[in-house]
Amino acid sequence: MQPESVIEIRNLTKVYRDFWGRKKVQALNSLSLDVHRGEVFGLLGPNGSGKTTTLKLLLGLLFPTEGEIRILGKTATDVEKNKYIGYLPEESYLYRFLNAEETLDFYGRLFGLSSSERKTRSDRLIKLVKLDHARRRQLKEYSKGMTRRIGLAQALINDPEIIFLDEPTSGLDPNGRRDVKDLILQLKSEGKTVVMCSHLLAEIEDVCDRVAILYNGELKLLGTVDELLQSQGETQLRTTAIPQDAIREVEAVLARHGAKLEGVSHPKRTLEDLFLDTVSSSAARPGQRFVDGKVPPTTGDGGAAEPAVTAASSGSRT
Amino acid sequence: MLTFNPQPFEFLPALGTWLLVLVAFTVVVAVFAFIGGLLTGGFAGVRRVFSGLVRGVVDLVSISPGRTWAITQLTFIEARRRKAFLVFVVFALVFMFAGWFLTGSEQRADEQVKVFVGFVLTTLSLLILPVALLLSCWGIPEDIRRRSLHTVVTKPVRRSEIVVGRMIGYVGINTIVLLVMGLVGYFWIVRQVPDEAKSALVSRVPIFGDLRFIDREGKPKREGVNVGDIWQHRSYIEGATPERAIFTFDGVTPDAMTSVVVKDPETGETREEERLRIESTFEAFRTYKGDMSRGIYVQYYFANPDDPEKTRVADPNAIFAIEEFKLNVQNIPRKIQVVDDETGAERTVDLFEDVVSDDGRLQVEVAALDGAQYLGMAKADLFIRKPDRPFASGYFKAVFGIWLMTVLVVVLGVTASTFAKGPIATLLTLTLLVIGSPFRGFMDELSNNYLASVTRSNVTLEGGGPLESIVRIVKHMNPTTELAPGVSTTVIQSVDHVFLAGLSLVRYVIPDFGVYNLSEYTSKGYDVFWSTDPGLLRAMAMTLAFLLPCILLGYYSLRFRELESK
Repeated sequence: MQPESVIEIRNLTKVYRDFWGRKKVQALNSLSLDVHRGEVFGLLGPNGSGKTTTLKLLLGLLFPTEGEIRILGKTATDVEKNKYIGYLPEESYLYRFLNAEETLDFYGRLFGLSSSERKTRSDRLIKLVKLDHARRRQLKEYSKGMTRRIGLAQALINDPEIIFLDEPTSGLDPNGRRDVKDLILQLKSEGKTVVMCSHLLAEIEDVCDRVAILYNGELKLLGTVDELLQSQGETQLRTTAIPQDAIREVEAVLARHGAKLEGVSHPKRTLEDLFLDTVSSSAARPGQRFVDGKVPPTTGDGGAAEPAVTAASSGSRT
Repeated sequence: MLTFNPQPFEFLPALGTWLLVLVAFTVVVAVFAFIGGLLTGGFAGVRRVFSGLVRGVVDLVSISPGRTWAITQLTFIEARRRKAFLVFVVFALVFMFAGWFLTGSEQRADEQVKVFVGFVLTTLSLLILPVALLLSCWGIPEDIRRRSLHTVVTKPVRRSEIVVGRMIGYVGINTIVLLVMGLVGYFWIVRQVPDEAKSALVSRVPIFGDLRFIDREGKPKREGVNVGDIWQHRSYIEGATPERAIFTFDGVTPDAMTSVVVKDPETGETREEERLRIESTFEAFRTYKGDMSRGIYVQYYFANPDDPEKTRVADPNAIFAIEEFKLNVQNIPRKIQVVDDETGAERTVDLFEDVVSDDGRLQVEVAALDGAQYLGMAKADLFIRKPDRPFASGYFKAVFGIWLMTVLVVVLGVTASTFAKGPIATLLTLTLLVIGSPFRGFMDELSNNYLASVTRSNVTLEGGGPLESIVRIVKHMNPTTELAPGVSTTVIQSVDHVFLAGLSLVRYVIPDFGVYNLSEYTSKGYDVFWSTDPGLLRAMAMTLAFLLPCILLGYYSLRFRELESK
């Protein structure tokens, strides 16, 4: 069955012009793509590739030079569509003289929520983004990470169907990043559609179902993360640690099938995994210190205490 | 004495003109928008313009009070937390020390009241205007610069709600500031005015009349004699001639009589009596020195304007020597004893039954009695003073006038801020304020003279338009010399023609801030009038007239503005 498109972009072009109408920059060139209901969609690209422009066009903050946008069947400049969307800007452009409660109350009122509903949702969201301790402080006293968190909370105040997140983890510490990623996955499990743009590849890889890669305002790649990352010309085997003899035997087996062992190595975890493991184990065992170059053992999967060997071969898939 | 002549203000014709101008401008803007759409996008462009206009109307009529109020409240919190109310500190400082410099025991009682009231109302205006100007011109541009507006417009908020919410918010803040300062100012005046001047702390309710003249041949004239002194404001009549200044009053009923304390000349007892109180401030122009110890003698005649010859009576007590630069007060009794010129018999005339017309009109004729001396007067120089109202009545109406002016400044400021950045919006609003206040008279005069020269064949535009004036300055020509006919003269006059025609149209979109000058009534001891120009109704009409067009302009500016444009 064809998945339902909640966002349809057709032939979208954006040219920035100067005061006299002369062409300054072509930020987007004939972009066409669909975002399906319930997926986490990532817009990837280097700086200046047009991903933020795309997001702002979707939100009606910019007007397209050419092309058409439909969000839940409505045009991008139709305010009615805003009832069903949430938006976290790249920087949290909130009113700095309001505190967290007032901020959520204000945005809740813009959605016409009743007083009791605003209170309930504000409480829940403040707890969700872990700002309970700072709910009465004005936002101008917030750190960047706290500002991102309250920005995320305001994007969710209306329980939106589609959430637009522009660099959602920028300015957050690894714990915060993990929280945001967990939240995105939770939103997905609730059936929400998430459109996020970022140039942090690991982030996109972790949470996105499909990604679009933009470069110089043009769509270069579009597909599911698995499709795009899978290398059809290679096969990777992963085992527990094995002795040198066993490696030679594996090599012989591979040779019989016309494949060649290209390398044997111990796999590496991502730095993010290591960091998170270290922080969580430190919290569990206070007093443990880094002494004389020895790394204290951690408990994560495939951690340093339990090395493994990965054998990769080229040729047919096994 | 007022420095202007209050003119009657007719609301319905003004409403008609407003509608005409609004429709004309809407049509012109729509035509330009459609042409622009056609040029840039063909028929699709025209369709886009049309749908944009239709959506605009929908957005305007479906404004949500809840969302608008949310933005209004945000504006309040913003002003409070950004310390806009610090203006109270400035106000308090001014009032703590003002008394030192304003109190002068050598001044007359009414002059002292004038100084205090004038000071308070001027201070209110000077403090509230910058607050209104800066708040309204910087709010939206700052929101756009900090991109706070981006998170707002991605919620289901219509741009009209942002414009209206901001306007209401700033008006609310100014209302609070003005209310507090107005109340403090009132009690400050009441406390500061010395006891001997307290009697002057009232709101006089005058009935002003229409003024015309009769020359020495008995023929009616619009203006009196020109003595070469303040010609534009006052006209003069010559003493001991048939020249008369004729004031015709409307709405003269027995209610207009004031209770005054009268001393019986025979018994010496005092009692209260109802009298028609006539106050005047005439100016004398002496062609010879004469008796400098007394003023020029004046006599009033009263008549029914419908039949003045038959009804004319003179109160023998209403002959008096004027005191210049002071109020001359005459209390005319209802029953006047007059001597019949023909029979010589005395008879009693009832002012209201025998003289005042059935519809309440009364003619007061002023004659100067000293030969070869002249008496000058303007419309506001003679009036019937009705029973006084409390000082608070005039004072708070004047404060209301200031409030109406700040509302207009806020409306203009918010509108300008939807398409310009903070400094530009401030300059633009300030420019409108300056053009609409001190330069308004000059602009109106230019444009009226031009319109008169176009519509009436016997009127010429003396000195021409701006280009012709420049040519005259450069060539050292006086304004009455005709320019030599030729191509250059035709070109110059055509350019001026276009400029002045444009000016005549443009003045409709520049607010006349002179209509808010209600504080002069109060400081001069009058109540503020309702349907005169300047007056309350006129001031309210001016503010309301700009409200709808400004909301429309502000909405469309914000609606078609790319908030993220680079």
